[in-house]
Amino acid sequence: MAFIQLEQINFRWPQGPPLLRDINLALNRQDTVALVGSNGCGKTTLGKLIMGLLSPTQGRVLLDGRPVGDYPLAQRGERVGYVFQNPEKQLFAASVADEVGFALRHRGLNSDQVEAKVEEMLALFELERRRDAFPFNLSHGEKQRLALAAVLALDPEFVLLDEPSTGLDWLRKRKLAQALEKVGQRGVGYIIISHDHGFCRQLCARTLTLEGGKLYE
Amino acid sequence: MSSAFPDARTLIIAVVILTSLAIAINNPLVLAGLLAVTLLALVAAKIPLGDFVRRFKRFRWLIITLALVQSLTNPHGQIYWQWREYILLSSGGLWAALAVLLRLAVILAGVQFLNRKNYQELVTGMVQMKVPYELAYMVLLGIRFIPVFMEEFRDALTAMALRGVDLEQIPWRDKLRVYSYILMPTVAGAMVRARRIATAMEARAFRAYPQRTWLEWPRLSRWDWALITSVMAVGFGILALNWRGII
Repeated sequence: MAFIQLEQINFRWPQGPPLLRDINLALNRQDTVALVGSNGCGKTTLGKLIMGLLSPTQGRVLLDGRPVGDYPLAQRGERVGYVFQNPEKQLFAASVADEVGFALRHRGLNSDQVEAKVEEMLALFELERRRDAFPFNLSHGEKQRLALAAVLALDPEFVLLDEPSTGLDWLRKRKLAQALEKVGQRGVGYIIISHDHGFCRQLCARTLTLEGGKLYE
Repeated sequence: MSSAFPDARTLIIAVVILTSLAIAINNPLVLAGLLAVTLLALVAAKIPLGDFVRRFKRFRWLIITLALVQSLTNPHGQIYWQWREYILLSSGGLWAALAVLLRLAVILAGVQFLNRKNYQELVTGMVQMKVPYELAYMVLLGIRFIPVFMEEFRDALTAMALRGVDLEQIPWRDKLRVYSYILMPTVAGAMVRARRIATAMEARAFRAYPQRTWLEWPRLSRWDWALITSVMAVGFGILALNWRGII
């Protein structure tokens, strides 16, 4: 049984034409997958369906064999990390270190454990020098890396990244790619939603293309 | 140039009179009549009532709280429920609660009339009513920002839950701290967006010259004048009767 399973997924917005049609997909824990397609083809919608943030018009999404909606949102987030298209939407702490440690403190970890994890993540994503900075004042690339660090601090089993390379220059893209390679080396699978084919080719073993509402591999 | 009937000014005047009546009148029976007339007018104007129902549902907790407060702070008439010397439920309290419910319903329904006009038409209408352009623009921009602000708040809640923080499970003292975290991206996001809009507007020469050129400067039709006159006559008539204590 795949970790994430999409069965006959159909989706349309109210009063809209069908956006996704008969989508079947199986994702295993260590898969590195790219989901590509042109703007507006439904990539982000498919990502939100995987996370259970949207409900399909038809079909079902299973997470570890159970319908994704059966898990409370917090539990889903712990198992599948979700990095938003706009990282600003998921940053809410007053400092970079607090951002990474925020959710850990609510897991009952003691302060030494939280501190160790925060240091590990800041080092992994090269954010040590920015640990006291206000997250909103970081560059776009740093915000992307911080959002990823904060999500990975929870040790999710899988990560979904929505357009992580948008707005990044080649240097920052390379840094993000290096960070994602490290994620893969830790045995955590991911799906990258993007239209940046070069970036995806470098990082993913599988490529899925969404076109005309259908998914092709 | 004459605009499509009704003009934005006609709708603004109608909404101002309707909301003034809703605020001034305390009698639930008159308020119920006012609500019925407003809803009929919405149907006649082909404005879907579903929007009003959705808005009413969205504010239901605020409305219920206000109604409860009114009920508790107006303890007179027949007493239905009393605990020691405190009157918890009385006919006066229920009457006051009903008045609040109906008052808010009339206001929420009345505002729906403005949905018939787009944002530019409303700004033009307000300027034609001698409201300074900057003020009219700011008011409407502010109103437009409310749903954006609410969406940012919802996004922040989702983002927090996706980090494994279950707001329903955490204790109350921690909940307050968590909510203070949510305010940060919401307020910061709104400020960043406001700054961007201000820059974009100035880049397009907003307020660069004392006079503006208007693409459309509609004139009131005879139907508009008729509607404004009738709404004002009926509105002031009801207010006069209310002040004299007749209704």
